[in-house]
Amino acid sequence: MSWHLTPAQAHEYAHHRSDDVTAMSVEAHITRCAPCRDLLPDDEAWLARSWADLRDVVDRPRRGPVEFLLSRLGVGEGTAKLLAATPGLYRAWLLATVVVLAAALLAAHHLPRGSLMFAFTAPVVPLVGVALAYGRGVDPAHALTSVTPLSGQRLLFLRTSAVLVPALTLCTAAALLLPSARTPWSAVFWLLPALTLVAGSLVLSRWLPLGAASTVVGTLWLTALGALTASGGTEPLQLLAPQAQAWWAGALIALVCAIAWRVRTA
Amino acid sequence: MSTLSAPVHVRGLTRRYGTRTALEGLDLDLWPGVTGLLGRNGAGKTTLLRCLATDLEPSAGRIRLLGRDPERAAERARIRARLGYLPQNPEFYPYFTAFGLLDYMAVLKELGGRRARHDEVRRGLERVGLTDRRHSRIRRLSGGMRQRLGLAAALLGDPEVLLLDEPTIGLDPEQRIRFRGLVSELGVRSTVVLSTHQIEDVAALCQRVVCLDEGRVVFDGTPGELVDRARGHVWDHDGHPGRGHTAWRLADGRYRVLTPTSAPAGPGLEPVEPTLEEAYLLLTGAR
Amino acid sequence: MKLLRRARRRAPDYGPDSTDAVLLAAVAAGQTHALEILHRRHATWLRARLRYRCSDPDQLDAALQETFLAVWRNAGSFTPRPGDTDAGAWLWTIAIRQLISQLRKRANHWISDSDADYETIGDASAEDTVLLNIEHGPLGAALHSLSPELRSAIQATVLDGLTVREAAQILQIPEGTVKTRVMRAKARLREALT
Repeated sequence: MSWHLTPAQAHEYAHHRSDDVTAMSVEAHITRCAPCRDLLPDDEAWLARSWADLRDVVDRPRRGPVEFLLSRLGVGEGTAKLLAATPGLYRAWLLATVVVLAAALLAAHHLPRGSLMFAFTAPVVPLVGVALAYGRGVDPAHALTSVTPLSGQRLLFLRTSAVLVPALTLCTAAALLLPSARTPWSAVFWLLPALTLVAGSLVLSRWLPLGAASTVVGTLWLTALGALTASGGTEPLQLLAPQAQAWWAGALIALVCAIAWRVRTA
Repeated sequence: MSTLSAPVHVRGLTRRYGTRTALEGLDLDLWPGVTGLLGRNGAGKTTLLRCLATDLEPSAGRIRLLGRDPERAAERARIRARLGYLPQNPEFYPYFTAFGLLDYMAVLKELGGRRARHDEVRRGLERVGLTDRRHSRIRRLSGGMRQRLGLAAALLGDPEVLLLDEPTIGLDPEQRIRFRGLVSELGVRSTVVLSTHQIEDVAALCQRVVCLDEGRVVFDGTPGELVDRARGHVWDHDGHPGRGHTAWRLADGRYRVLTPTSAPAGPGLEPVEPTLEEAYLLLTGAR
Repeated sequence: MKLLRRARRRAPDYGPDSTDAVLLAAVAAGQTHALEILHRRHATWLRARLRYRCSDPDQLDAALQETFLAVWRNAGSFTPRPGDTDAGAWLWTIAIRQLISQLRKRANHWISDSDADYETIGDASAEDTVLLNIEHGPLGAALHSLSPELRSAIQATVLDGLTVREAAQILQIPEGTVKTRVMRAKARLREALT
């Protein structure tokens, strides 16, 4: 190359003050001459901004499938992240749920009065899931996350819904496969008790750790069923009969009101 | 200024676990700057930090953080938005990436929309030197890297109150120097409490030292004042002073002796200027 | 898939003083820091040069952003010529085409968006070597004497290496006009040189 830019030429060019012909010759030159390119003065603020914009695109972490799906369903970006980030035990619970429900179905199809097993377990499944989704002991990062503004109530309820959706779906699917399943009613008879148990454990978690609260509620449920079975006087399925459902609904409404009141005052 | 309360204000703080008392009637006022929290294992350091982090509720007494009452839920959320906490031995979701974990923490800390949050996450990774490993799964990070990640999580959003429980465990010397730079920088504006066994960190960083023993404050002052207390208790001696003394052999063959009582110089005992570590040993060992 | 491929490729050692070719290899292996170095090295002159072709700073910055995104995605396709590791010319061809597509986005009501076969005129590199000396040689005077229309036609096709179709898009004139203007300009320049 026979010539190079003078600093003055570089300056003129960079500030859009070169005439057409000079600009053309400068351009022909700097396409191949790195030292002359470096003569152009940098606008540091613009460079930093431009790089930040660029980095934001090239360095965006990939979203997991759950997060992606949730965003597609219109869930807010941050909320989707929180919902997708359920602790490891939750996955184990999901697997265990499938196994337990499959066992219940087998029992229902092959054992006399086998469908009782489903009636016993279905309302407990969401309860166990909720207990495994939040709190010290089951959530490894609990110590780190528990003192953030969003943790506590809000995170607990988010996690609860992350549990309830798959739990209710799985139980409904299982209920539809029951030998007695002929009516829409038989697919959802367990629903109100299940929700009531979860709501009960959430209310109790005001005073107890969530895991302990769920254990208490779950034990109560199983004890009641066991007692009814043992006494032989009344059919345990009475607890799920249409007349009993009204009581469940009443209890659920009361508990939900208690939760709402607690969230309000929280 | 006198009407303003300290960012961390503690009166009569007591915390019991069953019948065991971990903290008993603590009074503390902490201001912006770095305060070192020293004490043996079980002295109550972690319990104090968890109480200050709004993680544990006091059994008795009163805590005010940034002028607010952490026992009221609404105020607690406001406090938490301006508080950073690194727990002892922090655990993470191993299948998260470093970036993903900080991003998750940033959502929980409500640090704005995606772009602002990601920029803050990147700044956090840069601060602790994890930029190159940002997309690595946490289970593939070394212990020191996880510790730095926890630190970055605590630092997100430049909290006004920063509580660090043994933050330098697992850090190599270079990382520790870097950590000191970070913390001292934050200490200009924020109230930083640093619980540690690393006396060098306290000597290098802290304007103030609080020593706990069995749930009580046994010393509260500057590192200089702690050293002053030890003056006249630290000696060099030609031979081993005998059992019952805290002593160790120095590189030059003489013995460093710590005497709980300010005993007069005996033959061969030469007074030495105490280090902060020796002063701390005297404070806890003398009891 | 792309991410997997990236992860498998090993990044070369690189630093702020590495050549463009090394940096691009690192970018191809997924190193954002290498992209940052390239950005720092090239963004300023690319922006200054684009500014002579587009006065809207928003479109300009958007084109530049797209340029580096294209570099991020296609860094592997850069093949340095022997003895020349500089990526300036390669980056410019990306940048000018990104600018055209930006302009097309804003004003696609008059430009058809079809990607028919491109047609190049002139041997850009040979002309470039001539143009390197235009300030000092007789060609400089000849360029001065050209009308702005003929000059911009030469600029787009010879200097920027655009196809006739692309030149027509950036100059906002029909392709036929580009062709005639380039022919007339070249004839004038040849006259001046002989």
